[in-house]
Amino acid sequence: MASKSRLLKEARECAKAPADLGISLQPDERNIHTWRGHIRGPSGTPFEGGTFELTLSVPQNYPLFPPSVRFKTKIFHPNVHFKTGEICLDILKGAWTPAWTLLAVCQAISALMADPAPDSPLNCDAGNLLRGGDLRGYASMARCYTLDLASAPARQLS
Amino acid sequence: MLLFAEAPPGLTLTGVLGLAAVLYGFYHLKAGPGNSGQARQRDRRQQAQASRPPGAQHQSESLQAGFPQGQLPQGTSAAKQAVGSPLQAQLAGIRKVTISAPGVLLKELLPHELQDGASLRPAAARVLAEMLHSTAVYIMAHVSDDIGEATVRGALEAGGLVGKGPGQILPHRILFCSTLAGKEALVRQLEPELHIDAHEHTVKSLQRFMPQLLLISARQTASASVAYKNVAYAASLEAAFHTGQ
Amino acid sequence: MADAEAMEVEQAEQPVAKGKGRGRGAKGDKDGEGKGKSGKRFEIKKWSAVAMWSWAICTDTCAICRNNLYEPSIEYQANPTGDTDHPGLSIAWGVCGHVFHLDCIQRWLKTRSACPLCNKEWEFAKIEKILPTGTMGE
Repeated sequence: MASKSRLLKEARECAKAPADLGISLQPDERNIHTWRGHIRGPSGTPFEGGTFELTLSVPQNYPLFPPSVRFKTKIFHPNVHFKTGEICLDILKGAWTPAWTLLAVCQAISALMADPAPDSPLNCDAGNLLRGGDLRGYASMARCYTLDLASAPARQLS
Repeated sequence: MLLFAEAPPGLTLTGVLGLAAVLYGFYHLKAGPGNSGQARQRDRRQQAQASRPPGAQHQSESLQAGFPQGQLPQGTSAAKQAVGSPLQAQLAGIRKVTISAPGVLLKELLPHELQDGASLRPAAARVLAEMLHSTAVYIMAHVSDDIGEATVRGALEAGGLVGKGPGQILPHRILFCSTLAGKEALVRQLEPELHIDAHEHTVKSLQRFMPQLLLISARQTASASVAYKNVAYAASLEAAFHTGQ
Repeated sequence: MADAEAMEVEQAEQPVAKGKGRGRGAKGDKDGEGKGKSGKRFEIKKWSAVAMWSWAICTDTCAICRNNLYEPSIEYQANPTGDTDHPGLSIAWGVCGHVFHLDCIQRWLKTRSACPLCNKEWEFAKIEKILPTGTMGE
């Protein structure tokens, strides 16, 4: 099947990806249409120091259609739904082309973490903070969740 | 006392706060007649909560998420607390509290007042320390700039409230914002069962989103415009919560 | 791609700037400047050049199936029919200059009519067959 061959190629590429990319990505051992990714919080952002897990589900007609990607680790970001992890990113919807790869998608998500788009928010509170110019509030909340939920060892709420 | 003959017997937050109001009224009646007017006002508000206001709907859902109705974990943190501590009883079923520090934990209320320094209220600090034993707490402060942030942090640290130990808050759970609307966004994001604030405006804005709010106001009676069913009033944090000390 | 025949070159050193042309010039001599005063030390005996031409291919991979453009598409490889007219054995250029296997781009165009690489509206500029046995590939 065409998607499987391409995914196998991508798996080989991902294994060779340099460590300083801050992204690790591999398919599930039993199902090459399910992938797990880890993105390091970009430096210079409130997500710095955190590691964010993603799940990627690849459709059978990939690469004609995009993978569905969501954050498994909770993250405070205007374009990510806090509870479901759904990501609002154009290349995952209408702007998708087969020129994209799963690794490139993760790179785009990493870029989105550093440059949020508050005008199409899935998290209204994050969007409102940024639109109101309250960067202090946005960074404060994002960093709090990064340290609480995206850092090892996982801190339990008292 | 007869006002509470019809209070719901189940251990919902409504009932607990009704109980708290009873204790509050009782203590004040014992102390003297001066505050009875305020107590009765609060009692009446608690009585009105017997029917289900919009805030209560949200709060019982959030309670049910963790605790089945009627099985609230009173006394679960007995190991850390004196058994039957009134504060613990008051916080039964509340897993998360957000506190706006200015005017509640700190004497200063407005951002410009925090530029010169921040003074921790010792009695309020004691209540906070005890809360931290049994509930997740997030502190937030509306400040103008980095100086304001530093004075607030400094005051909390000087009070021994910041750290990893029991009765302390982790540094990253002290949140800052530069707008009042931003503070509301923080509270809405965190979805606490109880939010404590000294700003009437914030309480008014958040009232329809939060299960319970507590307005700390030095005025003896709350203004009529802020009379909501899910908003409680107190002159200070220590007046609202009894630490059993 | 490139045939790697050994290049037999004996470099002739010569002054670069003067251009008097003593001895036969060797391409790519890096040490030519200022050393040729004592006469020729090297002489070109034989030169075998290797070059490659293409219709402005910037990459040799089909962005859709990730196979090399000089070999059949993944779809053809999965089901090789031997039919030389199979679109998986042809490559197609758009007017934007980007190139894909013909079957790959045809399938994509059913979804959207834009080039997958530059998003410009797709229009076929040229279609070419890959050599059937893929001898140009490695």
